[in-house]
Amino acid sequence: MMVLNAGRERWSDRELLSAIAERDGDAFTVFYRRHLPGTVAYLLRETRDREAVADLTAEVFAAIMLAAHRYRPEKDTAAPWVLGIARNTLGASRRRGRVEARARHRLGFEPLELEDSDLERTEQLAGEGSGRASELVESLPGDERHAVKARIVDERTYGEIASELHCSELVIRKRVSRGLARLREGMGGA
Amino acid sequence: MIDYYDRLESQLAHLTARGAHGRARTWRPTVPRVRLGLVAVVAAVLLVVAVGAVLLSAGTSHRPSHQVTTVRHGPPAVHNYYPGALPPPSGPLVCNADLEPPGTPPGIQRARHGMVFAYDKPPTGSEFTITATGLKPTAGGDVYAVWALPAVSLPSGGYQVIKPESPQLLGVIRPGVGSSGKLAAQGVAPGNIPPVLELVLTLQPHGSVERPGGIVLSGFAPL
Repeated sequence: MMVLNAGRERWSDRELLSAIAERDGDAFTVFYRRHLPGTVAYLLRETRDREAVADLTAEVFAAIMLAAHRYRPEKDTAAPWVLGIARNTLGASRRRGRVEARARHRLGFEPLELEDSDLERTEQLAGEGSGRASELVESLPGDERHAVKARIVDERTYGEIASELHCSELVIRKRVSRGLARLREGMGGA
Repeated sequence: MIDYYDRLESQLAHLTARGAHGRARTWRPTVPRVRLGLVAVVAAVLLVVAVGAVLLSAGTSHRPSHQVTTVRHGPPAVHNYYPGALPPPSGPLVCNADLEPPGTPPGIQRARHGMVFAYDKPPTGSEFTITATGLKPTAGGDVYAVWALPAVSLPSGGYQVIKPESPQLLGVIRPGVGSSGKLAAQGVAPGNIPPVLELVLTLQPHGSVERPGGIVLSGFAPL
């Protein structure tokens, strides 16, 4: 692994994406390493196909690079945004019956060879992604854990969650915010 | 040991540093200001000469103004090369999109379908190609036309037309589609093309292109 500019590793996702849009290759590297395990974990959980995951991951991060300038921080972390891009890439690939390659075409991306050892790395990354995130989510206090799962994982609106728990949206927003802050801290800043 | 994911990181970081994503999202490369200025000056001179010539002509022939001959430019042409092959692309591929009939559910491919590809056309232009099959042969003066509708890409990943009332005519397919129902056409996109658009192939009754005719195929193109 290349030694990175330590400063960038402390940058938020918003700062990294802003720098990526301005051609900062090191910022891309930090962002990639931060979100690679979670992305691979999601894609492997959805497809159960390690080769397809490698291909899809390349397309997802190419799409992230292209979309970096459009990122509007609505949450403390860009993880839901990355997950949304992964979900869309997967959906488009399923509809077309082949792995989407539009973003890579646009970037002039050179195809990469995939070897057996890379498939093992896919599983390793997925383990890191799902294990670390799940562990951290489960370690949150009960009210924050419920709010984060409902908002981020299940993608329910603040209004729906507030209605279910008979409290105000503001309370739910605070719980989600506090929960994400703890997750970010646990994952080494984001 | 360097693995697939390390090589992926390396290549994408390199492309980021090169600004490949900045170029890719631009439909038309920026024209240097000096060149734009020169073009503007030349255009202004030509306009003055042309207006002067028309005024002089009208004045010397004593014809009523409504009889002054004007040159009417038709809509831009999108040249249909089928059954021949399309010419080589003018530059790097910018994007491609599937074209489907209206109401086609995801994952279904109808007999009538197509694709659009957009390419850079150095130094200042852009070019697109449309290939399609299953089209109704043109007859009775009807023509196929290509339109662009400004759109946005949604955070959810889909696309949404934002100005359906502002279609932009990219060109009329000439010659028309024959009995094969196939199309392989190439056209040039104007500089003010929206960055994200829905590209629509329509059938224009009697060759009229005042507004889009019936939609035959369409697809979203994130440029």
